[in-house]
Amino acid sequence: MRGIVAMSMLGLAAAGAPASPPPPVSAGDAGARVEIRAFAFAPARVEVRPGQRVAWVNADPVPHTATAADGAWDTGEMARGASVAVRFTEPGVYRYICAYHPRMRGEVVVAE
Amino acid sequence: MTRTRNTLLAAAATAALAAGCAAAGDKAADAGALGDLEIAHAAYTAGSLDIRYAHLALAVSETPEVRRFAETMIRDHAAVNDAALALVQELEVTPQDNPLSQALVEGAAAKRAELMALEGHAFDCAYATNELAYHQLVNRTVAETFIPSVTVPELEALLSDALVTFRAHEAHAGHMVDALGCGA
Repeated sequence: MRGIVAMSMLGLAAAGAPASPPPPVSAGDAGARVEIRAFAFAPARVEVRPGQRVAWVNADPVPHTATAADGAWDTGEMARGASVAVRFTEPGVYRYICAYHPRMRGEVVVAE
Repeated sequence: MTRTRNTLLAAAATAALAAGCAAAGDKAADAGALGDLEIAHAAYTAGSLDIRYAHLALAVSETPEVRRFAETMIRDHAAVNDAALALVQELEVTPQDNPLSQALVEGAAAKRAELMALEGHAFDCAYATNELAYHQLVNRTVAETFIPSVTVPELEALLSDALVTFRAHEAHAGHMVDALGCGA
């Protein structure tokens, strides 16, 4: 599977469970942070290096996901306040949507 | 063209709605006379009614896009209503029933009866066009009447947050109407 990724929960927040704001991605994992607010991924496009993580944080009152357009990866449901990080290991452009609100779109660009 | 057609479809659906929903529209015009607790009740009621529509859609429709939309309505309106419940518990108040809530309930019951007589594509389009019209009505009421009228900052914030969600639903419903070819 191209760009095999690993998912992890940040801090005390579990996907699908309401939680307090998660801690920032640690310096060792430094990648990118995407806030989900007002039914949009902000920023809609992030760039990271191979091996870095992208952390999605849901600031909306309803659940969202970040789901690969090709189905290769999925954060799963994130309730308000929840955060899930995905590590991208291979260069490429990874487009994704919210599985629940498919007009929400973003992309992760992985480059050296 | 798409937006014009959706607007026309929504207008037709609204006009064709049972008296209860039209009455809800009339009551919405008077919603400025409602207090905070009545507004909270009406907003919660509107969300609950859309959840009921969605459950009906899941019971009847076999169209994947309609089913996904219905699942989203259940998920999202439940989340918004949970936030509303948490707020009233925090404020230790009790939302108050009122003529607008009652009109919404009456209209929704009539609309459900209409929908239950349908199946297949006819049901899908009736559900989709009603979702578009319903969200347009609710969003207009929330934006133009509820939010300007509430006096409790936390309730205003909750309604403003909810309006973002409901507007996304309205857009999603519009796309669903297009995708189904309703009225085409």
